[in-house]
Amino acid sequence: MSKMTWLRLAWKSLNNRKFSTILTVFSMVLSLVLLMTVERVKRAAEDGFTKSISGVDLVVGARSGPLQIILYSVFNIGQATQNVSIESYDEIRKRPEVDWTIPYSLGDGHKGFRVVATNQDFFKYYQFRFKEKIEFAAGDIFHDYFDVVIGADVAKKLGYEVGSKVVVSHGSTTGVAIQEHEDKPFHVVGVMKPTGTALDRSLYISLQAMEAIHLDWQSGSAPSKEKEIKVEQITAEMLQPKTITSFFLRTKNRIEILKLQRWINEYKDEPLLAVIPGVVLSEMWTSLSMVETVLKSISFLVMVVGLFSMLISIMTSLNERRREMAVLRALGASLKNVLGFILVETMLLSLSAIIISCVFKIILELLFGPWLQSNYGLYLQPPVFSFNEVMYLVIMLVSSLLISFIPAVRAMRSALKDGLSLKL
Amino acid sequence: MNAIEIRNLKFSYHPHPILDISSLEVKVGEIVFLYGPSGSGKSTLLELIAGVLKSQSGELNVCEQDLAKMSLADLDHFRAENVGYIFQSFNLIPYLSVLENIELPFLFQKKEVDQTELAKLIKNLGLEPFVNRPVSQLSVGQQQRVAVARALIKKPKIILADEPTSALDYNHRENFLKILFELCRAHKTTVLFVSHDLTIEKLFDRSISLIKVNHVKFESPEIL
Repeated sequence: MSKMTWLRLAWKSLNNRKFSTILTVFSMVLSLVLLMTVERVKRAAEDGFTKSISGVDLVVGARSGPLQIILYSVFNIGQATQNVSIESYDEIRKRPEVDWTIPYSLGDGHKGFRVVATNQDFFKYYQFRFKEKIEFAAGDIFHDYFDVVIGADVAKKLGYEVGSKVVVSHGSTTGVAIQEHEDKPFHVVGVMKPTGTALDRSLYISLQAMEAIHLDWQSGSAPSKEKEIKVEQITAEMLQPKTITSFFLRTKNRIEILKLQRWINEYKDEPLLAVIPGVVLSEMWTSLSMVETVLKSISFLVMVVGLFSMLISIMTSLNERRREMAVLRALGASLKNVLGFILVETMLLSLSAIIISCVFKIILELLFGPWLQSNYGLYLQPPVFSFNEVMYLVIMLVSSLLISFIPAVRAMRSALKDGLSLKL
Repeated sequence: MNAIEIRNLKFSYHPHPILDISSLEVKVGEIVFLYGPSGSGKSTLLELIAGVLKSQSGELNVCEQDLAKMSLADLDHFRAENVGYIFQSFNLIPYLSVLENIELPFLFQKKEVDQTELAKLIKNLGLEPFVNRPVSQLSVGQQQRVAVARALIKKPKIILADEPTSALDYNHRENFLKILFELCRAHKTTVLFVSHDLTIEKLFDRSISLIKVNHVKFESPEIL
């Protein structure tokens, strides 16, 4: 038999009060799991939000607000009031400090999803989160005029697959379409893998296709039957885009960003605005962080409840354990030993709560990670434990030890008062 | 040589004086019966000798150590080294096995358990069949024998017993004391046995009436 130690004794003592021990650990585990879950979801949401786009140095659009440009370019929310002329775009695109650009032309939709016209550079350069590129679940990028690539959500909600027919609605990105481009239907050639960003809820066509479906349109209304231009009549020249809505830009050298941004913002021929997406996204997240604060406060309250249930459980056990303490005292236990005994017990309680909650957290993430990803676009990125989460565990351990001084000192006092002849 | 030497020992729970003993001596190896009704200060005296309480004035020498001059931490250490204590009842830690209870004193000492001594003790006390059982499954008599084993395992110089037989019937009582005394005589262990039960007085070497040595006039048991 191994020699008795304080740790073993505390363990056996807790085991002896199995029911209340389990309840106490359970309430501590609950509070920790809740706290870590909130933190994890918040982290995933923040990542999903601020990392909706990465590797892009500037987003350029017609002069409006920085927020607006980000909203319609990155999140597909709202409309641009002005376009960017293709001449300005070409001039900026060809500047020596520019590495690549991705043009975006917005305005049409399909059954509540936005249709984005872009070029093949989009698939080549667009990055989100941690430099992840677009990948395909099925099919490939568009090559023909009437090819369309769809996001994961679009495919899932509308039940589309490669080969499905898509009719683009004019001027409508949400809800019911007023006018449809029925004469020029598209065919799905590619389905992108879920990204957890606005990409999943968009359809991608080429800039030329965007021109093609609007060729015969005049001042924003559909052509009459006789004025309709048939697909066969379309020539390449007819499809040269004249404007785009905005474009993403990557510099060859990050040092150039601010200089280029300034140059674009002071561009003479056209009022343009270049914004650094990371800066705007962080600002937006900060303004949304009210919710985060509320969630965190609730979680901390739950943690306090968990700690209190531990305190109550130890306090209530003390009276029935005065005998135990008297026996230990008789055998030579000092008052400090009695104090330490309670502290070791608390440490065992909170350590097991911490270990169990970590296991719980990992299991929960494994179970619900894919579900969160597909239903809410929340990606649980590594590391599994962020600094904050580790801090919560440390806070739990330290505060439980601090709180346990209350019952420990009490046990010490009553042990002093009781001595060996306990008068119950 | 004396195991316990008391001179002018005074102790009070303010403002109630509990003990005032001008002289009390117990020789090494003596088995002494300390008689006194409840409320006469027996338990307080035992706690002072065990070093759980610190004496307030006078001399208190136990096992040739001056307890009056020792700090609380030293007293705890002294107790762990020298004193075996047997309670009236509830001697054992309920969630430990018989063996674990017996070995518990070594939690407070650097010494290792002497396995041959342990086996001998368990055999002498007839505890062999129970060693790995939880103590809650034992009868009161068996539990008291476990308590004796635990008090003796660290070979204390002195055994203090606080009415350990009061929960036992007469036959068990005599039997229990016989075993206890045999083991203590074999190790020349001093025994100070406190009880209000005069029927067992004849089994001891000597008997002391606490009322006679304690000058505090004891009033009602409620004070304690």
